[in-house]
Amino acid sequence: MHRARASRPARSLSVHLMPGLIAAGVCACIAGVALMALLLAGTQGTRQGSIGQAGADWAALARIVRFTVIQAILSGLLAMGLAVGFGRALARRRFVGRRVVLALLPLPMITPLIVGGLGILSVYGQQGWLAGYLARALGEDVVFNIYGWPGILLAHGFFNTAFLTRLVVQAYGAVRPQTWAIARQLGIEGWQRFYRIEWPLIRTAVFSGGLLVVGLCLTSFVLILMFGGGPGKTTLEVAIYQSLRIDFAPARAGWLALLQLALCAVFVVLFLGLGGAIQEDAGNTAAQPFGLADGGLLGDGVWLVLGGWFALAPLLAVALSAAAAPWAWMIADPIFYQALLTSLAIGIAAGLCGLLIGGSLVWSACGDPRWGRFFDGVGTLWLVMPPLALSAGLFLALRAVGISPIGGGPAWGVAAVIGVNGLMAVPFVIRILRPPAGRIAKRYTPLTLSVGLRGWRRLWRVEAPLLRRPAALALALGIVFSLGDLGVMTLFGSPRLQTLPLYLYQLMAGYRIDQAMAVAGFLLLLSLAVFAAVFALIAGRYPRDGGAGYG
Amino acid sequence: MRIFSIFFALWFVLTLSPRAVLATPGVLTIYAGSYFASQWGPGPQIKAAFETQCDCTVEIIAAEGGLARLQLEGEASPADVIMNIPIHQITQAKASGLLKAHELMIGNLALPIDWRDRVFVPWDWSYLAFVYDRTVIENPPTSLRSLIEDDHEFSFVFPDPNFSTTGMDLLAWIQAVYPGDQATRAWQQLRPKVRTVTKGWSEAYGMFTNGEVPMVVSYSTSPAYHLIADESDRYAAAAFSEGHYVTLEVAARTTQSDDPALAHDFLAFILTPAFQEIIPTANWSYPVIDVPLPAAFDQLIAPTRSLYVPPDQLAREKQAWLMRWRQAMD
Amino acid sequence: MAELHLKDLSPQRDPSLRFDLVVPSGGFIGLFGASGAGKTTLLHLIAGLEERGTGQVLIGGEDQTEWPAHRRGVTLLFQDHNLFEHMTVFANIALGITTGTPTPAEHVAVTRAIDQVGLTGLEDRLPHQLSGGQQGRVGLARCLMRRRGVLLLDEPFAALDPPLRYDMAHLLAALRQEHRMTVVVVSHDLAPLMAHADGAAPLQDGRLGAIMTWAQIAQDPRLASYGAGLTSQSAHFSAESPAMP
Repeated sequence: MHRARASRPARSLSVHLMPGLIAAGVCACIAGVALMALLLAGTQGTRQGSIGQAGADWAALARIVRFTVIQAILSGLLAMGLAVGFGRALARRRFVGRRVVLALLPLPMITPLIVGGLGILSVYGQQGWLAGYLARALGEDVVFNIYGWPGILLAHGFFNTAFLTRLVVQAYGAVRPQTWAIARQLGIEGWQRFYRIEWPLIRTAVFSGGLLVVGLCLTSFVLILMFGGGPGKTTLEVAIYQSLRIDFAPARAGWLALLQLALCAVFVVLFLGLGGAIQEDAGNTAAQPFGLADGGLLGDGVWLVLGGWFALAPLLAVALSAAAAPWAWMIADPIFYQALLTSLAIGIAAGLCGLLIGGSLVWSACGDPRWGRFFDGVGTLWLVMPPLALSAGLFLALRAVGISPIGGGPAWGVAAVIGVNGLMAVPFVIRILRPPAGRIAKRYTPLTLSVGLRGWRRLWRVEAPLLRRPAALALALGIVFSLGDLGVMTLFGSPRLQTLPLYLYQLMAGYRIDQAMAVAGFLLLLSLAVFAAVFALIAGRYPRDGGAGYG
Repeated sequence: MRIFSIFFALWFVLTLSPRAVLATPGVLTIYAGSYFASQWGPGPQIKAAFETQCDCTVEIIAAEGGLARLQLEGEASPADVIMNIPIHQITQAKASGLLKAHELMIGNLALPIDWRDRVFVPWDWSYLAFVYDRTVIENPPTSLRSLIEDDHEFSFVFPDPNFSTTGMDLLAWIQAVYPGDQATRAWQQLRPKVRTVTKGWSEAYGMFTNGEVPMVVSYSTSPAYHLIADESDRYAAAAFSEGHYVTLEVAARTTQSDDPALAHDFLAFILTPAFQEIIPTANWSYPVIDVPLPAAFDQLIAPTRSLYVPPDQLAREKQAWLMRWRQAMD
Repeated sequence: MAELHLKDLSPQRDPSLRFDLVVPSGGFIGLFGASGAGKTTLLHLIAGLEERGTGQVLIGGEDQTEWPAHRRGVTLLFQDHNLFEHMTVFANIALGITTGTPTPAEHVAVTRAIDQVGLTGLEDRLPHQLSGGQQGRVGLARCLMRRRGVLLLDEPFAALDPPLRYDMAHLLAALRQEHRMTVVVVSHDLAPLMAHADGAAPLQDGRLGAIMTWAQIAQDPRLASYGAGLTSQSAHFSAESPAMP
């Protein structure tokens, strides 16, 4: 008989809370330090002209906030509408290439913004496919102006619809097949069936995913700059960029960042309140084909073409122009290799960092359900933390304590880039890991307690093997997000820290559009390769049949 | 994990080894615009030219945000010389205490305006101009007033004055022709002809050469690139009767530079033929001293009147101009 | 072998449940009650997996109320999710003695336990490659490995066809003899226990009744639904040995 020091079961739960509390503490510290540094830098320094502009212009600020919110909501609604139509058609039809389309659906989400933007231009721009086709069809030139609202919505739609569509297909996949049989027996068909049966079943997925899209669009920056087309199209994030990079008014950037956080906190609360996207969903896209007999084939066909075009045409455009671009030149350029290696090294480090922090939060959220929402919220809030403000704040903070982020060697700058990119990946890590981790915790916690599997042992023997696939997905996403990062990098970057997006940007600035397209195509390919490699290395090593569908 | 460590090893070798070079004295760090610093801009040639005479290593860094970057970095900044502070920010830059007087004689420069500044040395200049595609626009307007007030089929694109010096120069040009509040009306009339406003000059010019728009706000010297590099006269600048706005780029050395003498030498080097001869065909603009120009430059427009707003006035009025522009365009 | 003694034991989240029970050392009893009566909660309380509100758990005369689950002198076979789906039969059973890599001696012990529950040859299978009865026996083997004085089983017959239920009960009795354990079985179906267990206690209205003999249960009109199967006294000893599922 074990005569160990007795302890209450309640106390052993702190093993569950500790990692999450530490991660949350790190998050809070970094965010707090960065924001404080920004706000304090304003009160000390800048007596220059910019301060007159800082607080006074409330009307302009109100316009910015209004535009930020409206464009985000419109983008969210557009993505939701398209995703429901497209996802429903994908869920209930079987056709050649369906698996390919499903497999390609995550792609827009991992496409670097700048690459996707180029793709959208090549499809919808004045010189794009659509304009070209219409010009040939009508026999005259068509003026195609996608700048302003059309461009913003098209771009946000492209980046988010596919991801939402996947959620819709998964929601349909989670419906038991008998449901459709019962509906048919009762003669509930067509619109009635959608409204009374399907919608209630997919609503949570659509709304929670939609809110995530709205949250992402609230902080839109690169795409707004690319497609906004005028001073009226300014989001908070753009204003933050302007305060930091043009006017150097760190305090204004700090206040704008706080405002953005507050605004987004409302959405995060809604997001979690709505049962949360962080629900324990089935993760199954193998929906039963239902209602094949009740027509609607034409409608589904239209949705499939529309949705497929919307989500995949810009990628195809990038791939095609990249294929035609001068690859040989790129392969011969030594700077390209340096950029590739740096991007990969920073990406991998940032991905691991995101996985560590996000994983700690998930561990604690699952370990103690009473704290679940708290940890989910801490992780999700990073969705809306402006990376530029964060990195500028960290920069100022490092400077204030006498560490030169650039002069004193690249280590601190690199660490900051890795840290910021890692933190930006945390919301996605949580979204991916939380549902399966929650299922595992629910299922195995009594068993692990009774045999005494705890702490690292438990992580290593239970969570690690069972969560290999979602963890691989989360890691790959973190790496890919960091691969596409431009903003954080330009702040801490130095010529020795050439990354692929910087290289791409310089090609565009140096006005080598063909070569830029080659790099864009390569970035897209690299993102795919990272996914394949991470999955082969991490997810593939464990026999899948043992996992019983924790995918 | 093995593959990760290989990555990191390679990466550290590649990224950290030049560090050793930087740590040794005799390194001149220059902040410049990303085009200037890129391998296609004038940067590499200028680096090579200066290194042959200075016994030092030149490092040109694409420092977006120019002054803001310097302010953010403060004492920690490695920059010795900064070449991308726009004219409308130089008053603010001088007040920041981050820059140091050049201590050079810059009396007789080949500029259309009179430049006397104790801190900033001009390194190139050009005229702001509406550059158009001759295959699309056959009869371009001959004055800014005609462009703004008459109806035209075409639309054009220009960079956002909030983010781009070119855009700010356009504001100044329009203010020079339409003083005070008249500019509001001018912007309202211009608005339907504006296809979009881009973040930077390169995006606008990229749209233009990509055929998205037939006209772009750029420089009178921009067509020289196409004449020389592409051997094409497809693109030309429209000559406006009111005169063209003069835009110039300036360099200064920083206060915290660890080798002010070397920075001073570089500023002096800017005003020598060795630097200036590179400018026309690498930066596609005019040199600031008399050096021979390529023959193609003879085909460019030669404005008879130069419009120009001095930096102090720019600094005073730019917020009002931006506000006017924002309201008219919104 | 240890006596199990519960004094006024109550879970934190439902104070209306209060349990008092004494199972003598080496006893073998059943517990029965309607769905939702709190049978699983009771077992989890004893095993230290449920937050306790009040009361005490004494095992072998020792107050183990405050002990963490894995140190207590009891071992619990869960109703479901007894096995880690990603671990082999061998690994699942080995968890009973060590959470790390088994030493050679432990390896031998695990192999013997596998033999005892009749799963020899299936060591490298994954749980989903086994039948329900085999899965139950893997869980049982792991419980045996833990060498605790008290064995608790939560609905061990639920996943089994009727003949197999008698095999399981038979196996339990044999193992109880060999390992000299106190056994408590929660079950809807009391019939398989009749031939082996000393009796059964009803769980009603949040309280545990005294342990009743089979005859008492069969005669009590309030327990008619449980007693029905008990009168036929059919000792269904299947010809199948546990080793051959």
